[in-house]
Amino acid sequence: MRTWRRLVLFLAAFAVSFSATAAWAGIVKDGKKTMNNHVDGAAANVKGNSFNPRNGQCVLYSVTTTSETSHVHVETGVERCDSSTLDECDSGHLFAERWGGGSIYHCNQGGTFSNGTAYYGSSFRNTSTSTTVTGSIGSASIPQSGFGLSDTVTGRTWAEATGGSACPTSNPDGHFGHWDRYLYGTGWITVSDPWSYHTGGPGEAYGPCWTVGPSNSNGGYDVY
Amino acid sequence: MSTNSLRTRPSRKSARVLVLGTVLGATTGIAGLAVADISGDDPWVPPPGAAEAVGTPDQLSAQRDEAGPGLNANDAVAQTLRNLGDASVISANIFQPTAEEGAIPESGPWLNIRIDSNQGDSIRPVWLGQLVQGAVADEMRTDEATTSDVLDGAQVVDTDESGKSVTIPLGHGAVVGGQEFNSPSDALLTDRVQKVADKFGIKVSSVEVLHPLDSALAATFVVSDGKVDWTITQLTNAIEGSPSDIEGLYVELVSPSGDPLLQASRALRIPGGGLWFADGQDDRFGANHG
Repeated sequence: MRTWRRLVLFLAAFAVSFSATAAWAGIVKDGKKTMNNHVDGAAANVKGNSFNPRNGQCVLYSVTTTSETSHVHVETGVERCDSSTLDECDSGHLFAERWGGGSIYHCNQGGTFSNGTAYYGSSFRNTSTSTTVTGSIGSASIPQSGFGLSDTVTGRTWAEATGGSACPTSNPDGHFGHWDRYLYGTGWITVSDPWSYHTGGPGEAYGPCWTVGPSNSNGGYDVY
Repeated sequence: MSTNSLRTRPSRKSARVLVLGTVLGATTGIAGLAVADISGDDPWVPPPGAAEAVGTPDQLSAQRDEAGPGLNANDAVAQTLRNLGDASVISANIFQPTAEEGAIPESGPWLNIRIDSNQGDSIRPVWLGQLVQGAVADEMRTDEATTSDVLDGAQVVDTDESGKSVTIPLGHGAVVGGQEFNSPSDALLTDRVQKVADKFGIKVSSVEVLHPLDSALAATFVVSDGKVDWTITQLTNAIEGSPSDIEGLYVELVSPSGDPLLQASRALRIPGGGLWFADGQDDRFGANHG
């Protein structure tokens, strides 16, 4: 009887695993998340040294502020795509993206950027009592409402591949420097206790794509 | 008008905070003091060590006017709304936003755009707002480098499906001011949409040509069930041309039974984009998102 149950469980697990692999083009996100969930915002110097997206794919390095409760986020960073766009923003630009839950995404396209140069990306509540978080990088900005004042809000930094079903070619790499979280009443605080994590959701079909390096004293680390 | 670089870099304040932080660190003797902003009340002041590079604004059109017409705000709004060609856009006015609304220190003016679509925070009303924001900025512009040097942002005030009022702040991207799009005639643009549809093996359901300043297109296509051998990027590129002949594009894909599959928008005077998709349609049409 026990053997029979094991077989059923194995077959069920196999079916789920296979269908996920077959169905998802997917997104891979490899990076770090603030362990402290009391965050009014986050900021980092974001540097993409190389991107190497596959055809139809975008590769991003970005910093986010995310409400785990209300499922909204603001993301700012650098992106390059091959024969594709990110939310209809063009390849090779700084970007500020907002996600209001569900499957609606909006982006504002910043200026062009250079590989190997750091750009300061940030996102935080407009005021201590605001439920809107505004993200900025370079000269682009984007606000997103819905960040409840009692929500669990975290900061993230990550390398991301979106589109296709394989990691980017040739191990692209990036760097996050001076990663800080913001608290009203306290100020900017170096993220010193992050969790490393490797994606979630559909990207698990083919990730991880990046190795997440150790943090240094200013919260910075490499992805490669 | 303020400059973009100042908005994320209130440099005087930043320097003051850095000095205060250094003094406090030395006074308290706390090695590696992590708290950089002593007041803690102004996240717009970047922490010490924040990068200075801001990127280079693009030109997405074939031509550009170095100097703009410099209309006053009322005339710029009136002209844009008169020419736009979408009755759901009711009015617009310039205002100075509060911090709660998203204004940052030294923020420039925003545009408040009233739309009656009952679609709330969705792709088309945001796209319409961006078209108006970009056109008004370029009509008001004299010699500012970018459209966001003229208007620092905008918000759409719309209603959602239940009739509840919704305010959607739009922000801005970075693009040069004074872009001149080729803007072929309405007949040629409509013909182009049909030819692109024929090439991609899809049917045109509707086409609208809008005129925020030059021309913009909104098109709905019927896509047969099953796999496609093209992506939404290839479709939008084929309609826009390279460089783009139009200042904005809204594309909606629907199933043969009329169910919405995907909506994509581009507003090139901001520049901004939007994407919505039904379950699994992002993969089907190669639509990437964060």
